[in-house]
Amino acid sequence: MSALPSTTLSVEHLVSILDLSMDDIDLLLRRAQNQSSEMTLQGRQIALLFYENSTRTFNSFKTAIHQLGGITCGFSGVGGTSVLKGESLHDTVKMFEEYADAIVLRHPNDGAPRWASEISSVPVINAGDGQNQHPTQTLLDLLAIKDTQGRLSGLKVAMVGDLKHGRTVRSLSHALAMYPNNELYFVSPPSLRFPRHVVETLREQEVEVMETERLEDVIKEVDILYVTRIQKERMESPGEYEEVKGSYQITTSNLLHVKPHMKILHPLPRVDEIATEVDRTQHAYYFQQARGGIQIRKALLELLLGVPRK
Amino acid sequence: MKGRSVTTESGTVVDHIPCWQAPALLEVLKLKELAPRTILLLGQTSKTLRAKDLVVFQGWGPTLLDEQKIALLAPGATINRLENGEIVKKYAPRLPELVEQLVVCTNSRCITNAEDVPHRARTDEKKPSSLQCYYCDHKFSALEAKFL
Repeated sequence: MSALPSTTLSVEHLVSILDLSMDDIDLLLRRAQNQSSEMTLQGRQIALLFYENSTRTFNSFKTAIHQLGGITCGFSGVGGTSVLKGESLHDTVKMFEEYADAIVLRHPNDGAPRWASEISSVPVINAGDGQNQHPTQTLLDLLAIKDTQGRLSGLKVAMVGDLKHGRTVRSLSHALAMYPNNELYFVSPPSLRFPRHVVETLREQEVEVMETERLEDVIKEVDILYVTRIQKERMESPGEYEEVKGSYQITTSNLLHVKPHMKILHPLPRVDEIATEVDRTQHAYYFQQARGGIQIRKALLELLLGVPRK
Repeated sequence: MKGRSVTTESGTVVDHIPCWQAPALLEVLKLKELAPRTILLLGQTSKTLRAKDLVVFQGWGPTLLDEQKIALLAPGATINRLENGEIVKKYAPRLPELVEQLVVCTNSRCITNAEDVPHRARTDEKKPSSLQCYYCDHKFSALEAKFL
């Protein structure tokens, strides 16, 4: 007799994708795939504390909250806030927990959401911390993979581009490592490879990992091609960016011999790493992927706040 | 000769320190103010190590935090507590799963280096000098970290 699927999360906050069990992820994806039109956040206020500007993450949280009948407070970018007067993260969190039922935090410093979750009496959701984690992006990536491949195990996934600075690829790799028989291919210029400890941790988890500079080595093999932007703003010098910009550009000619069901994902925004001609192919899935951001964030807010559906 | 020879006094001998690691350990133990009489023996022959360091401290015993510093910087070291020249306790310092207010995360972007946040790091039983920041998950070696 199989156990009934769980109906509650095992965590009070979402700081890292590694905080979630496979049951948690399964529950979140199921909830995201079965949307309802109930106003489950009616009368609830959620604080959006975005210390860095954001387009998709900020607006998908905002849209998710509004669609569920909740209201928002907070800021996107620190201009005009007390942060510029020197207010600490501690004090900002302690103040907003008095206003809100949950806090969604994006912060330039790695580890800021973990600290916030320790001092906050309301649930904290990490909306991206420095170069560290972006767990809600990972959840929507997993949703896109599940929707297109029908499973999260036994997959060949290539991650392409700026793996050194990309928090989305780091979080997604850790998540895919939880599922059996996944093979990960990391495609990047040598200067933008994953930090060694990330690769070592994955290998310790007995995940099949291959690193290469050449996209053509892997593109025919994979089920998912996860493309990322070269993050100019996180480079140490303009020269470093000049050396690697345009390293990879996916065009329709790259897609001639790929698997028919292969899908291209991208956390967006894109610059020039996927040619717009690719948008019209059966392999492009990045805009549908972004739509899943609203579904997954609605599911997460409902489950963390423990609001029941009828 | 009482008081002239450290081996006949109460104190501590830290033995089996990896060769030439003792100066770094002394720096981190921050004993300048207490300034116990100390004998430092570098590059001694050893049965278990190819070469080792050994430090004798007269009239000084390590606190729990000092023991954690020894465990991180000198994996395999043993602590011998002396009373009246006799070894009364011999043990290997142990590390808890989480060390607190001991080392600074080496990730310059970590929140602990930006705001007033406690310094916490996870230890690794299999790799005694390896640490992982509790907040940002950055992995680093105690050998390259700044101690508080």
